[in-house]
Amino acid sequence: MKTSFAIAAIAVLLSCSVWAAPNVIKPHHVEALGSDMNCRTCHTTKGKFQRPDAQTCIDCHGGMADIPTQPNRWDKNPHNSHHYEDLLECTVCHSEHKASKPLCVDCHVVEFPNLK
Amino acid sequence: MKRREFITRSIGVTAAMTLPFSAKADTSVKHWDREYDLVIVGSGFAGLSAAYSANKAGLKNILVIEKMMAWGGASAICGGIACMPNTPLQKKHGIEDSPELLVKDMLKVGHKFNHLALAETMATQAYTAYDMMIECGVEFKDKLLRLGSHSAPRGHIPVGASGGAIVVPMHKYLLKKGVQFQNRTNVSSILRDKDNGISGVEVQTDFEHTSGEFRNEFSYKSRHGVVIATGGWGSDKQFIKTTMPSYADLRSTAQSGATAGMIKSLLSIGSLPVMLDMYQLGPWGSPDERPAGPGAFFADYAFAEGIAVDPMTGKRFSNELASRRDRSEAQMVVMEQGTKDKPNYPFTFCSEETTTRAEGFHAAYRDGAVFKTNSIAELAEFHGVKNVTALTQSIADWNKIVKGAVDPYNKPLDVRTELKAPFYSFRLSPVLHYCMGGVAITPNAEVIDATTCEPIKGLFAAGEISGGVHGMDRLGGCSSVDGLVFGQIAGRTAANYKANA
Repeated sequence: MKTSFAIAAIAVLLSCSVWAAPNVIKPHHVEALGSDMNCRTCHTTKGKFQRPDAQTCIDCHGGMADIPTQPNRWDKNPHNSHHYEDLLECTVCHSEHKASKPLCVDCHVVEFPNLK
Repeated sequence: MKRREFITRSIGVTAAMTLPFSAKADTSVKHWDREYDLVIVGSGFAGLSAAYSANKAGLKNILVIEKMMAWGGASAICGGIACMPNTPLQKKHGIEDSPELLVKDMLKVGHKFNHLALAETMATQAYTAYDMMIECGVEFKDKLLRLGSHSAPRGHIPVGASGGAIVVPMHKYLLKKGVQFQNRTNVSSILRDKDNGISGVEVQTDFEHTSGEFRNEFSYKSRHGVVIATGGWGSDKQFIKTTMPSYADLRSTAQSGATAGMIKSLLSIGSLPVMLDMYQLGPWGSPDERPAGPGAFFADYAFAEGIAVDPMTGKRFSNELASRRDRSEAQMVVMEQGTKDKPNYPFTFCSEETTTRAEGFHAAYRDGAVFKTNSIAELAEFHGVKNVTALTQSIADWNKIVKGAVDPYNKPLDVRTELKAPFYSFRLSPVLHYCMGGVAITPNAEVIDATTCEPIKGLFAAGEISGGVHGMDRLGGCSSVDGLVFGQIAGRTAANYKANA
């Protein structure tokens, strides 16, 4: 598994040579997609790479209603939030090339150890 | 339609044009990257309301711009309480109220710094906020809350007890109507046309507000002028420190996007400022949670049904439902009796029965902002009250008031609950909550020019970015109504305005 991850990651990096710094792909994506994955898997728009649309994520994962947050001691359910419901783009909280950061922590005491 | 337009670039330029010491004007030629019927800056209560009324007035191509990733700014994260007189819900509960009474309350709390015509407009048109919310699918709880200094219970609480329960349905309603939304977009300049009217904005797209980085710059034309609904600048430490030095160290309830960028842009194109040094403090802040955390919602109930006590004396020190300013100032006096490192934090507390109806209680208790104590002795020890006898007497006195005795502080009592153990208490420390000041507007939401004292053509503002509606301080649950009413007015006024560009 480790080897295939490394190979896939290298393949991805090579195909994304326009980036000056290497962009890491998170293991769960590599594991799920393996060598099928390349930059255009997520960066679907033509031309320069852009932040993927929420729809790109939703095409594989479903919408927020399909992937509820796991119950937690903070009673926080970001995929069904009073403040935003499903209006937020996935990339507000979820990042691929850097650590994800839940928006809620700006105001609330909360942790999501499982945040991808 | 002309593809290319000739406009005057404005930022800093118009200020120069209107001031006597310089007549230099940049007349660079540029084209519009995109054209809209109406550009609205800000996606909170005021911006959404402007989009709602502009759409009703027949404008088709409406763009709502948001600087942040998340929609709705302060409106999405606030408690969402809206104090509106004479609504069907008030009538259902048999509550006597009127716009005139609301104006009276606003003037009292605003120390008559209110621009009367604006306060009256808000109160008499509050019903339009109610009607709009209902049409957009907002649902309210079947109860009304009396917030501090209100003459009647008129606080409507959206189901979900969050402003999100207002902005989300409105946002979705507007999406269905074809209104376009664009986030991560910073407005860097407000653009004037050759007749000095406002006809568009310069924007930075893919804007990252923490770093200020962006990917592209564009000019958007707005045929009906521009609505500014960007809220306050409660997160802008430098601007607060400069305008009100003594509040420099206060924690703030504002979200991180609440910076002074837009007020600066408005000032630099010559808008008339009012009361920029006046900030509202929230008396429900606590050292034990972030400003305006869930405990703040709980505190409103503890203030209403319980009491607040000074640990130094074991006695009450204010009308717990006085204006936010009076309560905050009273709390600060109590705090100052301690040291800077160890302030003498006052605390409010209530009975268990009160907690059962208090939004925010569950989370505040779980997260350690609200503390449970099982006796007066425990309560005294927890808060460092040395004079347990005085505290015991304060509770006994309060229970007499609950039964009908006269309250020396004259607090209005809508719900009478005996104060008894177990007690749920919350330490208090005021937080900076609202920018009272902003740009001066007319009752038609037109921004006023500082040099002419007349409206600037094509520039409209609503909500916290404007000043004067509330005066030097404001009632709770009224900034929502301000944004919802003046936002609609701004959208309507804009729809009737035709930019020259």
